[in-house]
Amino acid sequence: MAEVHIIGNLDGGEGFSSPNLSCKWCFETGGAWRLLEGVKDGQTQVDHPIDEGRAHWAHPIDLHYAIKGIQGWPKVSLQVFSEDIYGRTQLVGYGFVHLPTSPGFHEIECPTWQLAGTALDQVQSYFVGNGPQLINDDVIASGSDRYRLQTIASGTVYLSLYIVTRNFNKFGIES
Amino acid sequence: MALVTSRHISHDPVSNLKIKVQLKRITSTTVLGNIAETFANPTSTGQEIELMPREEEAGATEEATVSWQEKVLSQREIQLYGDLINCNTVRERHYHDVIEGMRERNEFHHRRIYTCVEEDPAVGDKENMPLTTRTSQALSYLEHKIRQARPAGRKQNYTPLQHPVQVPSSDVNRKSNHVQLVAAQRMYIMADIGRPRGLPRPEDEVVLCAVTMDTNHVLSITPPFDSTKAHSIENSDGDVWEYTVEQVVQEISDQDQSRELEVMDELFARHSSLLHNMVGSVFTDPPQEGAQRVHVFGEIARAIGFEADNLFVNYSFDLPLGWCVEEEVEMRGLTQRSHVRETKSGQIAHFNHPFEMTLFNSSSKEEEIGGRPRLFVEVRSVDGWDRVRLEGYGYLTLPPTPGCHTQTVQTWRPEGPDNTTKLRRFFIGGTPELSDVRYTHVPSNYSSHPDQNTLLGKFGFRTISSGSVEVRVNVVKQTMPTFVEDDQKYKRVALKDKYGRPGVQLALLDAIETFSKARKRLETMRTTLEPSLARLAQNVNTEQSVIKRWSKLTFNKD
Repeated sequence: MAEVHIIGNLDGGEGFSSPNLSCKWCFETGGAWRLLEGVKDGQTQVDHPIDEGRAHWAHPIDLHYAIKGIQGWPKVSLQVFSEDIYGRTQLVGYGFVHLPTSPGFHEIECPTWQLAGTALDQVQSYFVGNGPQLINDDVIASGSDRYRLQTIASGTVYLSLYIVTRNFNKFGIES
Repeated sequence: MALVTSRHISHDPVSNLKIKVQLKRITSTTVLGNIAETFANPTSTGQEIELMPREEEAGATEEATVSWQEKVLSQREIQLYGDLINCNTVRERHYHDVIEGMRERNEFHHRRIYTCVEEDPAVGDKENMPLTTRTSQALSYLEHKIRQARPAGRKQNYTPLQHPVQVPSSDVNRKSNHVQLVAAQRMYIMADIGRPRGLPRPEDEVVLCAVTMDTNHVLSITPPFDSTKAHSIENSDGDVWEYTVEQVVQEISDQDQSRELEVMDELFARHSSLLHNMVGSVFTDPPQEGAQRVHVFGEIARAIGFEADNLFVNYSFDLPLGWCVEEEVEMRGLTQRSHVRETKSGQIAHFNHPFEMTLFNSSSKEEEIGGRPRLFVEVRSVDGWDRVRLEGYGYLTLPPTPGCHTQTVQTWRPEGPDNTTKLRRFFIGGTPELSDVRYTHVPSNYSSHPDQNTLLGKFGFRTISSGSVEVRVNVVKQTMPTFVEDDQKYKRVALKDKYGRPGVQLALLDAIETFSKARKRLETMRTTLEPSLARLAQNVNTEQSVIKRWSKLTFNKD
């Protein structure tokens, strides 16, 4: 049994259609991973950047896993929401990223995408909000059904994480 | 004189803390002081002059041992609280009772050392002692406000999602939230270093030792415990006193010590068994000696700088000879179609398409067999008429070193022989494509032999450069663990895992380490010095006895 600590921050997001952003995040792992301590999903506050630049969330992440195998290394899947002047919340980005495997400090950029709708969808989302959304969130972090999607490049989410590993050399693992 | 504060973290009950303070008047000053006093008071009788030095002698040294928050009353307090009119609080009345009891038992001694504990009203005044030698010690408005704030305890019933914001902030909340300190208990060991005769004066009262214990079990002591280091103080009359502060240590018996260690061992064993019950101690078996298992986690992150809109990537992995996948996984795939976005670095399409696989290599000498696995990418675009055009080809060799890698794959597409292909691509779609994507790296029919001296020539093949694809790859390798003899760090970790109680084991390890080092040195000395020793030995009885003596010397040195 080896152990992995993931400590860090969900720093912020930039480059989305609206600057007032919040983010819902969730860690997904394989079956050989067991969460000993920490919370693996969360939701940030809505940040209104002062200069319409990067929204800062600085949302804390602190997880401790005990693992029986490397397969299913954790990945974090993200959903970014924006808030407009009427207080409506819209989904503006899906994203996911594999966590870095090497121990140390990592600054991660996660590009996100959003679903492209038909002309009717666009008109609808312009007036009443709510563009197309995924029915099943599993698609965010899996590759099998991706070819069926038509997407638009969206903003980027930034994470800074420390990875700490324990007992890896005992099982001959170099990461 | 600048005093130092030492900080200790202790989980022992603080009631065990005992501090011994020794106060001593500098003798030469005493003598000088007496002479001066004799000359200053010509009315005093000869008897009194004789008595004075003896009394001073008696009061010149004083020793006191106090425990945590133990109250020792000062002369001034005895005078103050001895009168019931001055006692307003319960605490002060309790002091009055104590003084009355002392009076009844006739236990009055002139003591210089006394204490100031948390409940005393005077303890707050000690906080106001100036920090700097600045001329004005007046508090700013903010400092004044911070003083009023309550020390924070740990908030137990904090519910995070209910109204974290208060508009406007009330005074009560401001006091409890804007805090500079953790809650702490204070205690001061003080001394009255005035003349024994006469009324005790507040300006003669000095702090010998300040002790603070906060809720995080941090004990701060100013000055630190040191029985050898004397600190000097001077009163308003110019008398110099010296004092030392030390901790009174109660020796723990062997039985108690062994019991404590046993309890610690049991605690660690329970903790590790709990973890093992929860998770289990199994782990994926490492591959055979010489083979390696390579876990690959990655994403095709984005495409940068392509001319066309609505891009997608068709990717495939190519495993050379000697490599195989452990579980059946899709080795090729398609990303979603992504519209591009204008940024500073050009047009960007985001894919973030995951790939994840576990590869197995039967030989560690991968270069001899067929190289490393490769990822081939083909970027294509779809236009408004659903026509698909090729935008670029590229490949990426999976990094041989474990870790995280962000790689950029530069792509190109083949140029046709004449302008018709360009016209065709523009108007009706369709571009020249490679029949085999592996041509981007090494053509499949190409075989390299060092003897044949064949050249990998791609001259004559014309391409047009295109955008680039950003790929993030994480590589984790697993091989048969080989432990190097000198890997002390690993040994330490392993021992700690096995037995818990790091202290004893580490001490043992250190001892073994120093012993083996000494032995090594001895051996090298023996080999290097043997010829010269042999010469020496001619004068002494036998060669052996000299070497023995030599080795004894070296051991003593170590």
